[in-house]
Amino acid sequence: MLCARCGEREATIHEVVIDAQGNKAEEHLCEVCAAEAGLDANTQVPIGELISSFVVSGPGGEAQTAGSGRANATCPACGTTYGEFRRSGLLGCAGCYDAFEARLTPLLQRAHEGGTHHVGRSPREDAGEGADEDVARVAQLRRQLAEAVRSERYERAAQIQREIEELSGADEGGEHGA
Amino acid sequence: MIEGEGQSRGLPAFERGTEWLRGVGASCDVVMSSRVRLARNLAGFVFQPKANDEQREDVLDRCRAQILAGGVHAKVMWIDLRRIEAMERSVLVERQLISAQLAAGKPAGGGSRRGSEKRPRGVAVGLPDERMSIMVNEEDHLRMQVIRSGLSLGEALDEVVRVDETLGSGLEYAFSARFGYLTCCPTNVGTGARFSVMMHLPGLRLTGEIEKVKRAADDMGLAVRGFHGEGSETAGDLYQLSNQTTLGKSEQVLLGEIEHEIVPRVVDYERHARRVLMERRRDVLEDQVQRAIGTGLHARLLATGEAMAVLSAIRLGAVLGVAEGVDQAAVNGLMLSVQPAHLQRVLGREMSQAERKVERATLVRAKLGEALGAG
Repeated sequence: MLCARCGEREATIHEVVIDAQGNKAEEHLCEVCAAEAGLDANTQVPIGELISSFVVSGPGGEAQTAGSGRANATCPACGTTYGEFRRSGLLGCAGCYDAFEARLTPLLQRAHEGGTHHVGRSPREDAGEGADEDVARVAQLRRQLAEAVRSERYERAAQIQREIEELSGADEGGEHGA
Repeated sequence: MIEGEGQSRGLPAFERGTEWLRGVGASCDVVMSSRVRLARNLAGFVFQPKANDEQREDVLDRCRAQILAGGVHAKVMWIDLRRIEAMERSVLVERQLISAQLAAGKPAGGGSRRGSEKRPRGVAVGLPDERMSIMVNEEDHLRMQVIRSGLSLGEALDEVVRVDETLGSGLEYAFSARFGYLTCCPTNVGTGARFSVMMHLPGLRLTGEIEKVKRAADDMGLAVRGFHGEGSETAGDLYQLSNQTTLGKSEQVLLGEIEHEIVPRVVDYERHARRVLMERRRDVLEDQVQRAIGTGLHARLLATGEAMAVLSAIRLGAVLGVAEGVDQAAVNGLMLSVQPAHLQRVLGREMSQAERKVERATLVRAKLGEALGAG
């Protein structure tokens, strides 16, 4: 089957789009068009398919294209598209984590035994004295946050997240000297 | 402090054996070595797949300057990987100081390999023990590792954390409160820490239980890999077990799970398998060990895999006291000397695969003869 957009390349990405009214539409695209032509960003991607496509396309591996892909989301900082990430398994910059946060979350949960938030060392701890108390508090909050997310207490998690942001935000922007 | 650049030809003599083959430390009958690796990226720089060579050069310069500013290790050698021969890079891979990916300059994300030889990348090696190395411009900007002989992940972690702190005092890392240390591949994000233990599991292979252990390790969220890590084949019954989770668990928790829960179980399985062999199938065990010694002493052609299998069986025999008078350190040393790049390095020339088989067999005959005589 040829790609519905370019009509030249073989269609390897087969999408089933179900809209809010429950109407089902199929679209058959080649990888290039799927990645570059830009698809509707508002449509939800089936999480199971996303995860499986993530898992099979490990670093350096060829992506399996059986999964449906919404490839248009783009990192504003480096221009990496979600489709590129899906193919390579690699992100383009630190900003990609924010740009693709919602989509990354289920993948991270899958890859890290349910882990969604960092627990452990941070560069600020290495900075030494000064903010020791805050650092300890943030570390503690992060552990609580992870626990809250694990036990699906999302309201509590959001509350902890706000506390963390307040604490971390207070001394943000410190330049590291050489 | 040596800076390898400029002396474009030549690696250090590497006179001491590598840490992972010293064969000492806790559970060293089964555990060859422990390694902790931290992945870091510099804030404000795109990751490898998006970087051009100019940006990579910039990252390389900054990292090298910070590494050579002192404090990471008593003596550090910086090696610009563009300026040494492919063969020398392979020597570094075999010594577990760099990954095959970094050696090849293979672009992260599987892009075009054109010009990959010249991709800006380097490694800093702590001398003389080679316990520490820092890869620059691998999949992440920085990948620092510490290897310790035997089961010693705690010490390796302490040591690599000190390296991380030293580098972090002058480099700003890409970090977020939610995701932790930001890595190119999200499978490393969070702590960025990979704990690996290289284990020698010949007993489990002989009792046919190795697949079971692999599945069990998989269920426990561990990756089981071969001799040279990701994608490599197992050789000489050497397996690397490492954590796959890096997000949501602290370094200490990860360490505790692997060092105190998972690895001891595998060590127990292997020891149990060895006991079973000793008690119930001693004839099979002795046959395997003596055949290996026979092959090692008499073969005229040896491929790497076969040489490793021979050495694995002899090492097992030595550990169990079945192979009398074998100098275990010499056998460990041979596991490295039979590798293709080391073999060619010792003989001082490049050789075809067929030539290598001849020279490898000659080397094993000579060294094994000494090892048996020495005991």
